[in-house]
Amino acid sequence: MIFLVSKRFVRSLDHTLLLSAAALICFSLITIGSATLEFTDESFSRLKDLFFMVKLLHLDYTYVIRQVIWILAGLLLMALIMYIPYEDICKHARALYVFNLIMLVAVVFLGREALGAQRWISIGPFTFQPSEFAKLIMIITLASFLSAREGRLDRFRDLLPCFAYVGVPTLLILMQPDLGTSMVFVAVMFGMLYLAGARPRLLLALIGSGLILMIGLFALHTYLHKADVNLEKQLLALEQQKKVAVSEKDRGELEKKYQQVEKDYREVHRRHESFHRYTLKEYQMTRLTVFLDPQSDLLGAGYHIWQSLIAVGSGGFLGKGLLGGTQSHLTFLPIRHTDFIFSVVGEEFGFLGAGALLALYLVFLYRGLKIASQARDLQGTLLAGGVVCMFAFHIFVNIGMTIGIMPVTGIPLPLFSYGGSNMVMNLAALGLLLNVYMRRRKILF
Amino acid sequence: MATDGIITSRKVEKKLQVLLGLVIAAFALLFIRLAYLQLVEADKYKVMAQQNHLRLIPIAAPRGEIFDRNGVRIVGNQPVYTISFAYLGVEDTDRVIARLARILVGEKSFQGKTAEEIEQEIHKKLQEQKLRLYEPVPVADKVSSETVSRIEEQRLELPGVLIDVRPVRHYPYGDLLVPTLGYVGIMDQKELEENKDKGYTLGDSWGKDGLEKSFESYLRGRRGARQVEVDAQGQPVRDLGVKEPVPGDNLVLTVDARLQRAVQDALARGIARVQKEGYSQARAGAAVVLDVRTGEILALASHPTYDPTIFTRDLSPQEWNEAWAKISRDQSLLNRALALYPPGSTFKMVVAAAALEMGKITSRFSIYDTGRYKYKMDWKPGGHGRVDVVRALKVSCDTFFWTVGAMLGPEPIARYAREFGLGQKTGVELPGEHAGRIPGPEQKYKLWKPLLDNVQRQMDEIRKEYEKRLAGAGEGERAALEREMNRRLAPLQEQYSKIEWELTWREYDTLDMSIGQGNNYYTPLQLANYIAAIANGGTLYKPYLVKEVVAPDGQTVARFSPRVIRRVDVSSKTLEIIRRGMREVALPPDGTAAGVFAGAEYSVAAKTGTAEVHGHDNHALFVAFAPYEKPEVALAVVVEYGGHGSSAAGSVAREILDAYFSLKKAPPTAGLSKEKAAGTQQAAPAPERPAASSGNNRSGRPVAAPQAPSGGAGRGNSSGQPAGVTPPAGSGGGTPAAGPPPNEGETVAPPGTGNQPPATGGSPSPSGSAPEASGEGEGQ
Repeated sequence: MIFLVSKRFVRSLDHTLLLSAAALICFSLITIGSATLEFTDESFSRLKDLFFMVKLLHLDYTYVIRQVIWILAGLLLMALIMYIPYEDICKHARALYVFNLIMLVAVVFLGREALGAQRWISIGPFTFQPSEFAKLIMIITLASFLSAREGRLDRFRDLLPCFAYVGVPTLLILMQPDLGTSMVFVAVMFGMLYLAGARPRLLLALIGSGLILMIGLFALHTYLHKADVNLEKQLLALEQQKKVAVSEKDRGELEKKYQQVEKDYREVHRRHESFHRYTLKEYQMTRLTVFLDPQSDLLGAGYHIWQSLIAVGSGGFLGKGLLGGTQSHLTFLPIRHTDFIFSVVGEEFGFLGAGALLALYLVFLYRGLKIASQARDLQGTLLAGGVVCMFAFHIFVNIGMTIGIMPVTGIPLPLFSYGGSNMVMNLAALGLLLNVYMRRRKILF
Repeated sequence: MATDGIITSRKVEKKLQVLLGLVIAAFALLFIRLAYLQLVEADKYKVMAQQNHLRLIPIAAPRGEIFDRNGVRIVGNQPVYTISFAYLGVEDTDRVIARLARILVGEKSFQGKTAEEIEQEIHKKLQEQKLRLYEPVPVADKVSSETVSRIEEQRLELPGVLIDVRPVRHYPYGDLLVPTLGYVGIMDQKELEENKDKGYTLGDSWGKDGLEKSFESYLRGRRGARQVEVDAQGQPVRDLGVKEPVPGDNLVLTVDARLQRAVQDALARGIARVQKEGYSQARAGAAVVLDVRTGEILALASHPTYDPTIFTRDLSPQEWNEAWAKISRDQSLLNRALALYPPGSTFKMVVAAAALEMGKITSRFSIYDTGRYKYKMDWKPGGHGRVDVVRALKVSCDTFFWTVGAMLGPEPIARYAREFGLGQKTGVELPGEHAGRIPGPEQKYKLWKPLLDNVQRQMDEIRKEYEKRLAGAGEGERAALEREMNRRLAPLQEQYSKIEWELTWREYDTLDMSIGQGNNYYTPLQLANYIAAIANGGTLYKPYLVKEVVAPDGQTVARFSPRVIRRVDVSSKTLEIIRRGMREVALPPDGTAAGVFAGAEYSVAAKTGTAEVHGHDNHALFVAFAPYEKPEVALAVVVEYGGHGSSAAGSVAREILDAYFSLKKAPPTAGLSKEKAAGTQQAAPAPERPAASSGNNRSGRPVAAPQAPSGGAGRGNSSGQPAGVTPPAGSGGGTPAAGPPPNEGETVAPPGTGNQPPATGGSPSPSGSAPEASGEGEGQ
């Protein structure tokens, strides 16, 4: 009954997909071991000249071991998910949806705060990130939700229930606040809607108007922000002038002018404030836009991007070699083993290594899409498609962030970044893909 | 059903292909960007990565040291600590700065500031260097060793805090040879601009005065560097290599430290003594000792001195202000051995030489002195009786030299003064040397003409003003206005005619000149050198201070040997007569310096000088050489406002010569005590400042800032004074080098004429800042 590793079972798996995932994980373990090693004295500089295999012995294994434990846990969950036919999983969609909501609400009330956001929940000695699992649960529940509405998604009105369905958990995550993850939700939803048969033009129009709205929002903010800052400067200048004014008449005039500018300032400032109250905070805005010009704030918001660019760029074609990355090991690069792990790859393994990593992901995603196309029903296609969308979005946004073409949103690199919840969820998602693959449509000719 | 499914799957297939296309497009974008960063722009980022983690830390070269002729170290080097801070790139920054600020509380450069204020200051400094990430920013300089050890203890909690060591000047013998040594200071912006091509960078120090300035190119050495790999906290992880600095070359001076000490002390004691005797204005002086056989400067003293460590020690702003106020008051940055003084009777040898050489007199020529020459009275009432040239020198007979001077006229006297190197720069290796001034008709005209122009201008202005007012005035007012104008013009017109009279060289000018008064101004160094030429039989050497420049490895870089400026065009017979006269000065019964050298074990030839200064006590001068038979050293001593040449300056000279002859047998460090405090405090009690009258108002005195010491410092505020109507109150008349050096084509600030019209029949009264000695020559 337990399908111990029987030959038939092994043969039923998608080997290319599994091998690329395994390669990614091995690559990630080496990179994590390297990224967490900090050079503190002269002895470390000798490591650079060692033989590659010997270098592996000198990695920092603290985080690697923890990650391996999470991988094992993830493999267990993956096996569990593979074992239950996906149709059966989808039958419990409603229960899963409710469970998901409860979990996300719990984060809001019980969550542990770190780095300015509540994302973690502690259970006993473990802490985990419900928003990670929320992604997978959302894919499963949405697949069942959409497959029930097959062929009835042509009009905008038909899409509204879907938006509401996805919107509730998305909003809960946005409240943490976790902008990155909520963007994942939106991206995955659009991908699945497209696969489920919603009219592409309608979706494009929606995405387009969403983008326009966003750009408009940023433009509006820039306008408000600049006006606010300008008026504030004017006020300060006037105040100075008032202090040194010579004649009574001058002072009176300046006072009048000051009053007027102050009135304008109060108005503009109020608008600026209320803008932030209803949309994003000032610092979030800065964080999202600073990638366009990281040098504008090298010691603040732009620091991460700038150091990452230096790391990746200085890697060159061949890279500086394992343990040779100065940006990584001399700790210039922040959060190296999680969000910015790709920068370490870029620095130590160069264009060759980073390109190979991209190729591995491409193979992985290609196989994922193949599985979606071979699924025996729409539900299977939606499940596999959703997982692929999620992975693709993660990869693009994360790597884009490290090379300065995407804003910093704190999205990890799937199967690669250090992090328990994420790794377990990724492996579970892989299990879902294999689940669909094992129960694929048999082509008989 | 099946077909339906196939159609559906075909539709899905197509959609999945679209998705695949999207994925490939996104990946292509990543690939392109990655290739751009890692292939196209790689070099740029490689450089940036290196800037991040490789730090080139400059190592200052130890400056060359300065030794006396016997190898005694007068100036050495000593380590000083600087604290810098490098930006961390982590949230810790604020915490570390707060901790550092707490440690730095009480540090002298932050005196009186709370930890919060220091914190803010550090933040500000960091902000200023915002774009150069990780470059350490200097936070505190010259910190105490206690602070350094506290930082060392807390090293782990203070990432980014760096301690640098650099060498600074050390003076084992306190104020010895101050201010001739000069001092070292950080270059200001302008100096940096001008010397950029010599490899100086921001924050570099260099010699700002004295020998430190003149020999900068030898002393500075070449800086080295250490390349260090650092982490994001700025902590060094490893050394990548060191380029050792090349220390500067050492100077070996002609100065004998023992004699220098003795000279400084003698000068300080002498001045203190004179003060006690009632010459309250006597506060400063100078002394020069030369080797007559080579022109080597054996000692060069200027009093008061300052404490040289104020430029190297960790001073609180308050302490610095105090030290600076003292320096400004004493004008101790001024090297008085190179400043200008009227020579008084020490000039008489020039007149004697001129008269003998021109054949106006012979050694047998004599006059009978009744105590007056025309309208001039000799310093000794009743006169000296019959005097020939030797006796005239011995008793310093003014009448004799007036007679001879009148026979000669100004031009020959000036020629022989120049022959002996007076009124010319000696070329000594020190900045800020003055040429001095030899009087003459042309020179006199140049001095007075601008003054005349000034009065003329004032009169023109008044006329113009009334012209306008008269034009607009009614008939009735006109007469009143004209009266008013004339009333205002009258004093100016009087001034004008007096000045006009002064434009021409008069007989009394020649007379004043003949006894070293009038417009004679020479430096003590020139006087000593002129005596040396008399002593050695007519060779005028270039006086010099540096014998040798030696590389740190002991190799000689440059050696300076005696240089002859010229053979003085005076016959040896004439010189012999003059020497005899000078010898007589030191002999009883009535030699003017007989008392000073009573009991001396060596034979001395000397000449006293008392230069009258209007409104002040006289300057006391003394020149001498010894031994008489086979001269070795010549010296000149000046005590400002010291009263009489023989008593004030003569006793200093006696002490100096005693020291010179006794030191010939002593070891090279005799009489030197290490770590001596500033001589101004130790060697002589700081003189009480006279009550607010004249002494306080030394308006014309140079106030030398450390950025621009000596040299052109003489301007003071004299040039800014409106000449004419009111002369600067109290006037620093007679203060050496007070006015701009008159010889370099510069116009001397004119003597005030308003309240002190020049006395007809006398010389121009001294006032303003033009140093003037009264013509009422008095010599002894």
